[in-house]
Amino acid sequence: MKLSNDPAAPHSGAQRRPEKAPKQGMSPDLQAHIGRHLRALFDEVAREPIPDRFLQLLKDLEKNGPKKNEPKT
Amino acid sequence: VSPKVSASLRDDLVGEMSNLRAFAVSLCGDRERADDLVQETLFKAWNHLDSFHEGTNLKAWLFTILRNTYFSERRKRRREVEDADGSYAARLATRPEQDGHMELQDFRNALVQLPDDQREALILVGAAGFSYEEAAEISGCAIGTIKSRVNRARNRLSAMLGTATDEAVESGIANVLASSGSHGV
Repeated sequence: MKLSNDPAAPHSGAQRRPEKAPKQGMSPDLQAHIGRHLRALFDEVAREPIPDRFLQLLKDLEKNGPKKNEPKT
Repeated sequence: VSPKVSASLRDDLVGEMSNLRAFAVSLCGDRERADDLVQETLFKAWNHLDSFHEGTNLKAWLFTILRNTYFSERRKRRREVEDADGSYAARLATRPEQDGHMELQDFRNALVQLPDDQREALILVGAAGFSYEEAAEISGCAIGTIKSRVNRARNRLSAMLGTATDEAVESGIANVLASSGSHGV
């Protein structure tokens, strides 16, 4: 609940207080909130190991060269 | 014509796979669908490597192929099924096992409800680390268009999340800040 005393809190975005929301209605905190969630979603996947099927696909392509047919999805 | 692929280009390709998957999942909101998109993208990329100039931005090139694939399929699908957006949102909402974190789940649900072009712009600039200029090139539009899409996406998200969580927004921010420290790498 406390924004300022949290040692884990990054300083960007948390410095300005919610009450100082600009007239457009988008507070810096809310904007930071969106950015953080966006990166959390992205990074969650980006940190996963690459599935074997993709490495295998590259091997197959390397071995066989380009094929005429796209893989069925 | 079988392209001769240098070892370094192949390694670069592998190196971009994680980002490509993350982009696909963020964009379409469905993991299985995303991995199919990545597979198609890799396939197309490999077959058109001769049109890629080594030393230029491989990541942007791959992202372009992926989003073009995604959008052309979306257009096809939209012709077939009227409520494409609704079905995507519904499918997304049925996968809460992806993350137990309610905040993040709410965000996911809101993100998938954005218009495709706004979601794309927001992800490219806000998560994938592209400049407005690069994002414009990837999306095939003007920089000003990307900027306005990002702004509209943010406003729309904040409206959705704002009405959904209302007074919880402030505490939600605190939660995110607190939890980002625990598993941030």
